[in-house]
Amino acid sequence: MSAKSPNSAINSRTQLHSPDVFRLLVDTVADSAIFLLDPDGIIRSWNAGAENRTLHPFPCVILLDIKLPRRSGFEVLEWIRSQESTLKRVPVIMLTSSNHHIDVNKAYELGVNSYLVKPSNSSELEQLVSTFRAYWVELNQGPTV
Amino acid sequence: MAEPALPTILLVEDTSSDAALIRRGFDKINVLNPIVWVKNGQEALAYLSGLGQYGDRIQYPLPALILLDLDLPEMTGFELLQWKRTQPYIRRIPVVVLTIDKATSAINAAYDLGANSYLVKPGDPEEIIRIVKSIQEYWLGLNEAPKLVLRATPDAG
Repeated sequence: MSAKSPNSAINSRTQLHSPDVFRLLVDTVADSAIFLLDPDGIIRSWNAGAENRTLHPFPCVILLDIKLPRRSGFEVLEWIRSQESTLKRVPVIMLTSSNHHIDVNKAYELGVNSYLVKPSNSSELEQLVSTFRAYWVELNQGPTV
Repeated sequence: MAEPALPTILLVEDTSSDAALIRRGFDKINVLNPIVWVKNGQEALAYLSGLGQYGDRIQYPLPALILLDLDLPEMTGFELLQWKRTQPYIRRIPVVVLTIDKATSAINAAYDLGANSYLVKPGDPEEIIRIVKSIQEYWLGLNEAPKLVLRATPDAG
């Protein structure tokens, strides 16, 4: 894996959290500019500046885990929604192993668009990815970011 | 003790024919959740606030999902979104905008005001079934809804 590829660094760290989810998403939606990024990845990508948009295009949707090293998914969500730029309106979908009421409610309080719980087996995960794609990529009208 | 009731869907739509199509769509795919239809933003606000008759949360439970048209008389969908985001608890309830307006400015404004998703009503009435099916699969099937006290339980406590 080349350390010079900006996405590979992000991807390799994301794989630590959700290898199956990430692999499936890449397989399924690689053509749709959906990224699964960790907090630092998002921030680095957005702060990179317009000249790097070819390498770091704006995603149409962000899938965000809650339990992440350093910054939690909640902190990232809060950061996204507090931006002055159009970034604040990008749809954010939590994809996490927690279905705890406190986490679900907190995510909605912070302005998450949707909350998905990671299934425990791979066939349910494939179903989730397929339903996710049909809804957020094919049906939903996204904002301009 | 009775089975917990299915979560309610609040449909905010001023066009009777569209509301009928959407409700028929849910019927066709055997969605048993109660669908409450209100015709404008004011009535939606009254429902969500529990004003008047809507104070009876057994008969009129808080919805788990709001389907919102934007072009509404008296209080527009945008105004309702603006109000909703200031309300404790109610602001968590997911709102799916369902409108004929495809303008980028409307889409962006809806997201800026906290809409969770934005769907365009198809011109072909039959296509509405497809949309309704997607709403059912995603929002009633896959999505984890916020945890609210949706229904008053008279025998609780």
